[in-house]
Amino acid sequence: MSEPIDPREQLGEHGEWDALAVAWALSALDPEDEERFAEHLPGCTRCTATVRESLYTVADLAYGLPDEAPPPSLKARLIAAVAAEPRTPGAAPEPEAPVEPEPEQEWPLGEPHPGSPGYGIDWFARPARPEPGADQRELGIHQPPVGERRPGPQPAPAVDEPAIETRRPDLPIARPPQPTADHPPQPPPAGPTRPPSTEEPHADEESAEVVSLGGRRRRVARWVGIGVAAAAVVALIAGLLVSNVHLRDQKDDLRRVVAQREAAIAQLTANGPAKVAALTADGQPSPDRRATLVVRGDHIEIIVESLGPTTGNETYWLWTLRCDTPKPTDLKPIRGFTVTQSDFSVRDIGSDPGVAGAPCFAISSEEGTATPKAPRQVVAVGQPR
Amino acid sequence: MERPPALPPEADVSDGLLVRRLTDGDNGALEALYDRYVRPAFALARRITGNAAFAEEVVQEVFLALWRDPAKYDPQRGGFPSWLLAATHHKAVDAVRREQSVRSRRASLAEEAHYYTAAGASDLPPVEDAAWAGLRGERVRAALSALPSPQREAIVLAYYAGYTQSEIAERTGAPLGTVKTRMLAGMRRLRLLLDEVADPTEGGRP
Repeated sequence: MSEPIDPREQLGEHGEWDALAVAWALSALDPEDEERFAEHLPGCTRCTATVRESLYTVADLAYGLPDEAPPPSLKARLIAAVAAEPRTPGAAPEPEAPVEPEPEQEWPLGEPHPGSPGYGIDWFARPARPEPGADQRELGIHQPPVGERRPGPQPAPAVDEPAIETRRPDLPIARPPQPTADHPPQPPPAGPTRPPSTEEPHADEESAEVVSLGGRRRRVARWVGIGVAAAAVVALIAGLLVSNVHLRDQKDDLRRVVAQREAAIAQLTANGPAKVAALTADGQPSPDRRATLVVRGDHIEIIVESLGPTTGNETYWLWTLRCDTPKPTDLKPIRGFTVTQSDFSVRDIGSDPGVAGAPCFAISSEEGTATPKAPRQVVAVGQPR
Repeated sequence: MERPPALPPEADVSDGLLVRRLTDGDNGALEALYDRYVRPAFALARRITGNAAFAEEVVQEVFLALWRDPAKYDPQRGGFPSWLLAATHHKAVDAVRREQSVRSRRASLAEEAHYYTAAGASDLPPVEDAAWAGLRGERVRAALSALPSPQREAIVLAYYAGYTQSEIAERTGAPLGTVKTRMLAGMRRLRLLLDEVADPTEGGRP
């Protein structure tokens, strides 16, 4: 039994389109075919039906895989991202909302505009606001490349004791990427100076008002309510964040960061005991928090607050160290990561046996992605509590 | 569904109603949907991308996109799980193709393809045999196994590995037209096989 070579020869006049429709549902079309089929699909009821039917098969194939639970941090990040969404779902589309190129065509399972060559991509990739970390570029954790599980820089390699004594005799603290001390302190916000909103205020949600993101008051109220019950606490955090220079003129961002931090901490600490380490420039309690670590066992997540995005080949490295001695000792590099967002992000750094029980953590700025033997420039230090 | 979430308020609520709640900005509804379906979605994304961190980004984007525009899912057109998993698949494949580091991954997947090209059901899937459990997994496995090897190979390489048709042709040495035909025939037969052994408890189909 010989196989047909050309769909057009073997499958009839419409056979080739059938083949393209099936492959379309499988996301297996090459770009040129995808473009061709995208032009054809809107006017073809047969192909629309084929795509629809095939998409059920595509979905069924997913059940051929064993279920796998993602780490809890994913839910935390999703919730934080939702809290950061600037507009209400279901609201009228804003002007910058992507216009569906072929609105007459509906994807059989509800996804928009299959007629677009990159169907689905517009929808998935559409940022609600400029957010460089929203796509794969945020995947800056220096783990082995996708699909690779071979040894690489992912686990903290065994390295020689960092030559901290000679290179950084007293754990020098570099100025952060966004200097803050050079700027006059920003007066704390007198109140929730929200931008004009068409929403009716809710008196019973005053605490959330502080951190509400125009149009998202109800949800934000709930997130904040997870871990912070009192308006005073929210106001305190808002005040602390004022020193973030890159945020101080952007009150919306400020509220967003507060909501994100609270949501993230609440989520990351909700599933069992975890230690939280506030990392500051000098290791002392300070309102200018660089990052917050949530350590559960040997697993660590970083809430990046004001490290600033890495530039060029810069890489941040997380270190464990002893800080109860006059000079820091036992510095061990744990994991490198990059930051693409200018303010807030939650990063799952992964697990490392060296993390559990570490007396102190530090973040350094390095050049390149190679595992450093000693920190080039320490930008944040803190103890887990 | 088979994964009742531990969310009392949302536990008995249908997927469709939860999606409608999204329109009202109900983040609890999003959490409920997430709790119900993140496991198969994450498994799929991880399988396609081959990397947990990458898969997390994909899954987050899928749910965030749903949150931004819940109307993208239309209950009239099918079950939510089907929509979510199809969307996850598309997003994962799209992400894989954009990611440069995936090139090396694909090279390694070429080795994996041997598992699929070898005849016999025992080769499906290559690694997680023991983990293939559950009625649905059995159904899909049985249906895939019943396909002629070339058809199964084309579908598996496209679906689980994210190859395009020309990439499959290149890797299997078959002409592109043959790959297209195999994929079409395989998907048609797969649909029939899946319907034959349809799990009556399955939801999500109209």
